[in-house]
Amino acid sequence: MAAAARAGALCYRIGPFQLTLRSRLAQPARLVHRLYGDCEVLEPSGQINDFHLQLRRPRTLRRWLRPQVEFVAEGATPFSPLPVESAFPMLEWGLNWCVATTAHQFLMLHAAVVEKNGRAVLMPAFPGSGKSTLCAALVHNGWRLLSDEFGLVRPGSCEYVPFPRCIPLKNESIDLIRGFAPQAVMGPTFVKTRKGDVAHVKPPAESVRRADETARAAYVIFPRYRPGETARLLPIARSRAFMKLCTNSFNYEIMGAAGFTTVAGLIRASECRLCHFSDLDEVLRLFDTLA
Amino acid sequence: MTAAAGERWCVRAPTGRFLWEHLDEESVVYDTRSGQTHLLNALAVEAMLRLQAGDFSLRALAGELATLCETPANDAFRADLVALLRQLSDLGLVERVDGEH
Repeated sequence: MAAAARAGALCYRIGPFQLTLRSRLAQPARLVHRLYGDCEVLEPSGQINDFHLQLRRPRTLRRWLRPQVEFVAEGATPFSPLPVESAFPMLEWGLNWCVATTAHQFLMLHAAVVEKNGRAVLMPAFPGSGKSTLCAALVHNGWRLLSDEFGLVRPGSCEYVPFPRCIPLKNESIDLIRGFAPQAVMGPTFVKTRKGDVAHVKPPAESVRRADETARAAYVIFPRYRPGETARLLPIARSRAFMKLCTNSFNYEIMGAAGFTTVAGLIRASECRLCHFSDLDEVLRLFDTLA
Repeated sequence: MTAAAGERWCVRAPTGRFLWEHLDEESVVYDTRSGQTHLLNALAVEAMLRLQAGDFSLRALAGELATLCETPANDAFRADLVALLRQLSDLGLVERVDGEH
């Protein structure tokens, strides 16, 4: 896989998307192999891919002082170059950007989705929520990862479509998950990125293997990390949950009436709760009552 | 805030314009004309549903809603209703028939 990426084009599938990655940089190719090695690798020729991605060194004079990397998607460079050490995080951010700006065949909610016993829990992302930390803890303790970043729903459906990618952890969460889930495969820590220190948790192999299995909406849980607080579920009016989902969607407004009816279906199918937590063991026990 | 009891309010082009989701004691409405989604309380919903069905004078609308709320349709209630209608008007959901605000 790494050799394929370095040699020219690596074509692979994550959930509903097929992508081609071109890069002659060794570091991101090695990490793609290590962290996405369970994904289905496709023949580069003859595929109709959703995204054509490239990581390359920009041809600016700055490269003689400090090597940089730029992300290219469909020939466009949506971001400013970053230090070459940030190539893999840039690839992950770039793929997020590609999906969020083009995959309008789905309603895309900015949320993690996990599943157990056929019941999917949507965890919308809000700053300071601890969503990724909680998601990483759950998927290494019996829950299936559908996504850490995208709640993908086909219009009119109440089923979440898996998109099992790496879970990016930031700052203190990195060591927290290393200690809490030592079985988690993690990439290196990228220090002082634009989002602070970042490390990526590999999607569990079982979640990748089941990437074609959708999961039915059962809960919408708004996590909120609050230091020192006992884990507990609190009520939230479904109307308020509805509005929160609308405002944290990548493409709700683009979807128009289909976005509204899809969110309405999800809310009808789900119990909605706030979840305050600080301790991962406690909150995992609480989540097990949902499954 | 002053309001003439005879002023008339309406919803323009109401047929098929709104998608509703009634949840608990509040409702979410999608306005296909603006593409906006709004969270409305029960009184706003009742006002909207009546204005969707046809024009209402402030006096008549206040009378119906006051009955629903089991409260007198006095000046204070009408003033609250005007404030509500102006909020709904700011959201582009309802309008004064004579174009005033």
